[in-house]
Amino acid sequence: MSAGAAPLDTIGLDFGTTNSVLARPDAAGGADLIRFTAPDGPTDVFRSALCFWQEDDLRGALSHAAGPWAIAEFLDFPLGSRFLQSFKSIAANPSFEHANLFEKRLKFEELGQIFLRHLVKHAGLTLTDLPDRIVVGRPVRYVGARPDPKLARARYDAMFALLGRPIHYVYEPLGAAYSFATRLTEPAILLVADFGGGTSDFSVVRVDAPGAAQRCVPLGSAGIGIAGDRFDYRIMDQLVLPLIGKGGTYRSFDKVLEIPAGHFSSFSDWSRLALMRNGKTLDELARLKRAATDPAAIGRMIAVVEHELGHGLYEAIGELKRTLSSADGGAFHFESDDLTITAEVRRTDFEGWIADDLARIAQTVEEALTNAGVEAAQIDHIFLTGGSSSIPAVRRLFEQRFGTSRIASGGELTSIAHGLALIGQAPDIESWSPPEEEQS
Amino acid sequence: MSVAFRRESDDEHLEPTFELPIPAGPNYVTARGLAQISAKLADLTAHLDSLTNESDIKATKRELRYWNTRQSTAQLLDKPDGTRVAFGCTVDYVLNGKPNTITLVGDDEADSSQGLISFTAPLARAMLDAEVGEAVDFAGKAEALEVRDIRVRPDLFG
Repeated sequence: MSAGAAPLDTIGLDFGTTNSVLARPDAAGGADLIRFTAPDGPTDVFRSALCFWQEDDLRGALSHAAGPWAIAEFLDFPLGSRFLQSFKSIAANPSFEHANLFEKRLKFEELGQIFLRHLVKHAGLTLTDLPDRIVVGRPVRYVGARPDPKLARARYDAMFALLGRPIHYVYEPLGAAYSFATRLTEPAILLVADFGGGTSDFSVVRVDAPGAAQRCVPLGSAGIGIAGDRFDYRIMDQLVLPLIGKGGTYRSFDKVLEIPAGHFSSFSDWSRLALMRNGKTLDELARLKRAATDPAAIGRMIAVVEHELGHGLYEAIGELKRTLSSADGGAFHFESDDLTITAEVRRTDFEGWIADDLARIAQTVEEALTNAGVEAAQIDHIFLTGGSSSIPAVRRLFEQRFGTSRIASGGELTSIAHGLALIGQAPDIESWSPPEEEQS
Repeated sequence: MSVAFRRESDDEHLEPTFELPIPAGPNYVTARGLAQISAKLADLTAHLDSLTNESDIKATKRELRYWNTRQSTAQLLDKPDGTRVAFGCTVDYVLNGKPNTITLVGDDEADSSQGLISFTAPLARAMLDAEVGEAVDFAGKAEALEVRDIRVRPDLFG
């Protein structure tokens, strides 16, 4: 990034659980986001979602769209499509083999490549004219109870092999740190907290004065698979699951037993909910419905799965979260032919539902400080980014721990891609790769 | 051979150390409880500087991580108005014919020898929201517990 030299052409790719963003260096030593001309208007943010459907005239052929176009296609014809969101969450899940979409079975890397093809095309690029340096963000810790980082790395490699260029992986919060460093003129110690859809990641970074050979030195990181999607699940668990059979009973011979919570575990994750629409799961649910004390409730659950209500629920939950970020209370409203829910939610209710998640996030912040060997008093700036950093209870964790004066925020959805594009121009890019993967 | 009959040498038997468990649920505090967290952190930080033994340092740092987490998640609640049993109230009650007094506080502030009970304890949960003179169910018995008086101690909320 030395002044005067032409910027090295690079693409910074933030492949997020909820949104993906692309950035490229500009002539002035900064970086610009790539804009998409989406059906709803221009946007820098490309939803990490896929929509699949079958064309009548092409037997067995699977058509697909991604990002804002996937949402538009899905809303046009919800019953005939399959909508898949947050599919990055399955990257490190060893029990996921393939998604059954109509008659096709697609592995993670196949889903990822379909997504990338659309992303590159809508960015106005082609696979042949991509720059030689591509920097891709990865979470510090993947989603799941027992995530397998090696498997996730192999799947990432297979997915990004499509681009035909060497891929440089960088921890996502380091991208955000590099982006924030452009605001600083003095050397500083920075704590970056990135609250994504699937994971909350924390990195402590030493930033040297502008012009230093290596401006940002990563000191330590920690992450946890609790973030926006988990908060969504807490709302779902309180407001939606009780209406579709959770906590209800069923008859088994002459006994009345509680419906096992396992039937609802797929509702904990948007990607798993999208994949419930398969013959085996629906057969199981049909059997449960026959035995249930309240068959209508299980009928509503089947409708959620069969009628692809996941997208509508996601929108309703997102709306409630956004309302509660600025107001003390708000209405949850979801309407469909099969299931209508209206509930008033106070912010304190929501904060109670996510209290245990917040405690684990706070513990992970302590872990990041320990890994970095840094005391809280030595941190000069705390940079909060990612969608869930707008939740007041999340901000409060940092205000109470570090005081309000050191906290900065901004570029909630775009700071990572921006920073990744800047890192792509660093001469020492190898030193940015996560430690455990240096040898590969 | 079954592991039950195997004697492991001392260095084989290094138990992993876990983080101190964080109590479940919201971390409600009184003003006094919040001040106690700050005082605890100041004490531990000063104590840490005096330590030289590696395992003591490790144990103290672990304790510091616990209290730092608790400081991050603490939710200072408003002083209750005393019309119903709520977090921060001191309650006179009669259970099984025996009168007693407890004060409902946060998990870290609880100290049963002083009559300070966590608001998440079954006894506290049973009487939450009750008014003076009301009898509530407890331990499976209907109307087992009668609330006699509700006060708010001035030292809890400053």
